[in-house]
Amino acid sequence: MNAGAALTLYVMSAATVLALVLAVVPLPAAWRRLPEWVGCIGIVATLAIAVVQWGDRQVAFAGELHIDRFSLLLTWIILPAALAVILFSWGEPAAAGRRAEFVGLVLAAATGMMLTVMSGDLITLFIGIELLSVALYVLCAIEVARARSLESGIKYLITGSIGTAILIYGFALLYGVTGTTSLDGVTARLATIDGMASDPLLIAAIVLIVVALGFKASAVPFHMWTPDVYQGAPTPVTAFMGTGTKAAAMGAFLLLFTGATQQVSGDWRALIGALAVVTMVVGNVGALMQQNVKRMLAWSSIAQAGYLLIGVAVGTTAGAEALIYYLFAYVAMTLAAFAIVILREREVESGDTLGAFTGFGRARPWAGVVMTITLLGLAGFPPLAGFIGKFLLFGSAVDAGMSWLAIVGALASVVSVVYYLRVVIVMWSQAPDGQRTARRVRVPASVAAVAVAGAAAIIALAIWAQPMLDLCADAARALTIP
Amino acid sequence: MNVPIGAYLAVSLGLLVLGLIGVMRRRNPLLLLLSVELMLNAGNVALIGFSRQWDDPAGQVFALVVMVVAAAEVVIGLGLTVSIFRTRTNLDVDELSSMRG
Repeated sequence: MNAGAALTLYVMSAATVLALVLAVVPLPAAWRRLPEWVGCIGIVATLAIAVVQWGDRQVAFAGELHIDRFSLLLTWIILPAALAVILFSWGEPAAAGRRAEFVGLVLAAATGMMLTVMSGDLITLFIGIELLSVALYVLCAIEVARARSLESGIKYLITGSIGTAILIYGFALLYGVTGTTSLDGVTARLATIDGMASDPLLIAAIVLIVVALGFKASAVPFHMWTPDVYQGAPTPVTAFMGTGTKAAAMGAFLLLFTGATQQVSGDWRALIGALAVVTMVVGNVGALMQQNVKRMLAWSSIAQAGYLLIGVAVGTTAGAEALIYYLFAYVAMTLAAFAIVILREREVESGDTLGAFTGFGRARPWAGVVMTITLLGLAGFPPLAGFIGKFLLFGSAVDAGMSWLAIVGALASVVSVVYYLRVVIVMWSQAPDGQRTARRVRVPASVAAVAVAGAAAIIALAIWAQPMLDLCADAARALTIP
Repeated sequence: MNVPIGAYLAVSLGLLVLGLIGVMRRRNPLLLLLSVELMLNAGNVALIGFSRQWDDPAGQVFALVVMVVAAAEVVIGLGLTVSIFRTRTNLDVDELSSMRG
């Protein structure tokens, strides 16, 4: 028992409570930025602790929480995403008057994501997933005066709670098969009982858990809510859903499959592989049709979930390593892309449509360069981080004897080039539309900083790929060897 | 009294299917929330049944946690429904379709 090991969660919870208390305390005008500062300082402090804690597994609360290289590395993904979201909304006109709630809910959702990846027990895993979901339902609908924001919130709530109900039923059946809620206990139990692999109850449990996590990770065919919710939610929240939630859901996939039920991987490899294939195909084809950049990024995030699922489907530590590396790249790329969309939205009416990006690269060359790097990275152009991540994911599929996953993935990536490059072409090929650029506003420094940092991270992840991959390999090993 | 695990599972499966049918057929957000509650409680019945079968309290703890979470979800759901109701008079999720594609 080592309750101090969970220090990251205490700091995050304290910052969450503090931000929410500030929501009900009348603040003098000079202190109106206090909630944002509480959020930023809380996140940076937690990140510092998570860096210092890097090392072998520490267990807190009798095995309910595992603080190991896996959970800490995913925390390094989740916390920068949360920080970026707070920076996005810095001075956001729409969130005025609700800054403290906004920051508090972002911190609560980030705490839930961390709890999810740190969990060593089905109960903690469930609480983590719910904490992040419930906070995000409210965040989607935080612009209560805007009908689309409310619509997005209720749609996310209803589909999300169906996912939750299915997850609970899956966990209940898994508990019924193994008689324990501890992840280590599940592994030990599956290892001792012969003939467990063909148990229909276990297969039902696996199917239900895959479906439920598919809802959270927006994998096809449980993706139908994603485009509407992503488009309707405030853009900073969309960016958070596309990055943090995806990281937490993939962390849950890895903990439950590559980690806890490794023994019966024959039961789920083909199932998750099929999910990855459908997700890649439908996500990329869906993105081709979109005229709204935010909606296009939503479909692209569905497609990216498909690539990520390859790393789960292969069921090996090599797959997990590739998945974690690609998560870093994906989160950096997505945050940078959303930063540029937010910039454009501040400048013009309906700044999230494809037409609004006409000549944007020429009008603001640095933003155009960032967006170009980001979209090329998402499309998987060498030598950027997105290419390395995809290469490793497809390679792990070939090594695991699932070459069909790599083939579909490569073909899907080729299709994706069309819609990513379309935005790049629109940005650079035409002169800026005089009417659209008439209302130039000062670029918010916080948003610009995230955009540049994201683009720098995409390049840095490619240059220092080897040390990064060593960290990811350590994290992947921590899944199976405590 | 010894209730066999099959009975627990039958009841919970029935509740789950009822909830699923409700989610698919109902269009009123309040009734949708009600159907989701049925599905969550199906999970609870299964958890408690298995908890008795294994003679292990963890399943009952899990069920209690699920109840708290379900309550939180309903609170958010009702809050959102009321906010939407303020902007329109007719409650039908099919009319929530300003975004399509």
